Amino acid sequence: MRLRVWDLPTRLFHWLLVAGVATCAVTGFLLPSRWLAWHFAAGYLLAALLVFRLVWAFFGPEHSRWPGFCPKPGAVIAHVRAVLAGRPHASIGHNPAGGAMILALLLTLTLLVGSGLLTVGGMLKLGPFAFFMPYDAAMAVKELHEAAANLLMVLAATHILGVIVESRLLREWLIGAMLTGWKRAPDGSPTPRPRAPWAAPLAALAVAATVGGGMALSHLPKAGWHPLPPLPAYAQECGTCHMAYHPSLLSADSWRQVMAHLDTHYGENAGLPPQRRDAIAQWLTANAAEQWDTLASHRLGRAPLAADGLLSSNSWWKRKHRHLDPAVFQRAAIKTSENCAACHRDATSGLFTPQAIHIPAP
Amino acid sequence: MPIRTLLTCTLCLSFAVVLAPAAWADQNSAGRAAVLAAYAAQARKADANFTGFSAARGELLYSSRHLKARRADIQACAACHGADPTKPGENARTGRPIDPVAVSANPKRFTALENTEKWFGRNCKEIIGRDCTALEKGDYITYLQSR
Repeated sequence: MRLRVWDLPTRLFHWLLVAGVATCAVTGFLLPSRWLAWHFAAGYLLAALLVFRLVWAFFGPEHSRWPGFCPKPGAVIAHVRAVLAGRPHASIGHNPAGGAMILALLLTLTLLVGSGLLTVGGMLKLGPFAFFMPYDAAMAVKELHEAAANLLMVLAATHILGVIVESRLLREWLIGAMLTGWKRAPDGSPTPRPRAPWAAPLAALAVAATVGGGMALSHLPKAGWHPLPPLPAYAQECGTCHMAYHPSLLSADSWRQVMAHLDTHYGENAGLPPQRRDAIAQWLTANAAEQWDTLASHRLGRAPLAADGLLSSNSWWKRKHRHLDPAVFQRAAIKTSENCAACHRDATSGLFTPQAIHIPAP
Repeated sequence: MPIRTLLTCTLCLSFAVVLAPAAWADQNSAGRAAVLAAYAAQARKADANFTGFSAARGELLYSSRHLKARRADIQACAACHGADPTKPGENARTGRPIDPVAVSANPKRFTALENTEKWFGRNCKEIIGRDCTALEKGDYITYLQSR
């Protein structure tokens, strides 16, 4: 006989999770930073999916509930032995090894999503945790995120391998079961208990509360970053000839160095009346890199100014732009590698988030 | 009574609409006249035979290539301000847009001596390799006033 083991929400969850993890893996492991907007979008999807799955683990249909993926260690070992011997027992829901794998996958994913949110919160001042997460802590959490990502890849590969092996040994295509929901069962097996009547509304409520709460937290003031309206004199005197660089891109010392030699300013005479020059210098040093906790303030601002004074001579800058053909910077709409704002739409805020990167066409 | 009020208001408003820009324009040209007068006084001091500024000389200064320019790729005013000064220009190094330099397209040009001096001070050294003379400055403004 055949039984409907996986209900539609469980199957949707599974395949959306696959899509989300695939998107995160491709954008996280393979593509340059400007694709990270997709990484973040997929990460938010995974967060919502995990909240749904938590509700489903308690109130979903019988085989989606947590006892199904919390098998006893002895049962797991016995099952693996049986598989190695080539004759596993068929299970109606998760088999013990599969269940253990589901638990491992869900826990690793939770760790990934959590560490990812903490990382972007501290590094990019983005998302629900930007209000408290410091940059240095985020860099440490990023290591954890990357380790968890590697672990997830191993687990996912093992999961797929396990499904293929079981499918062949049991002569039942388990991937098909996750598509249709139907699985073979011994005759006389009881119909699986359906989900609780309030499961769907509860899951919707939980997901909505998570999304709403996350968005509310995202709108709190960010730790280590605040909007800074440019000093009018700075916008006028400096921003007329080149982009008005955010003060966080240089240290107070570097700003003093730059402002002390305006008559030979990057090969040009940008001299200003002393009073005006000092007012601008005062504003720049008061808002220099040391006053911020952003990615750019740490990697560019706090680094010593290159001998040629160019931001694009900074080694971190070079690494972040290594994917780009140098000819890109010659494009009419860009002109020079120092013209951050040509591609980074949020350059004047000092945030430099990946989703604000739009490289103008030639 | 309300009709009279309305009429009065309409009248006042039309005057405001017509006269305000005129007043502004007047202020701009007065400012520019003062700037030119200052350069004329300097030019006369430098050369007793000074008879006035010339738009033709100014145009030559604007569009010529100056071989003593500091950078080989930026040798003329037109390099940044454009061959047509009534159109917006673009900083040749950074791509930063520059408002038109011709007075017809940008009536605020050359209306404040301090600002005008700042830009001559910066750009003359870059393009012609030395400070501009008062005669050159006056010619330049006279040319761009005619455009």
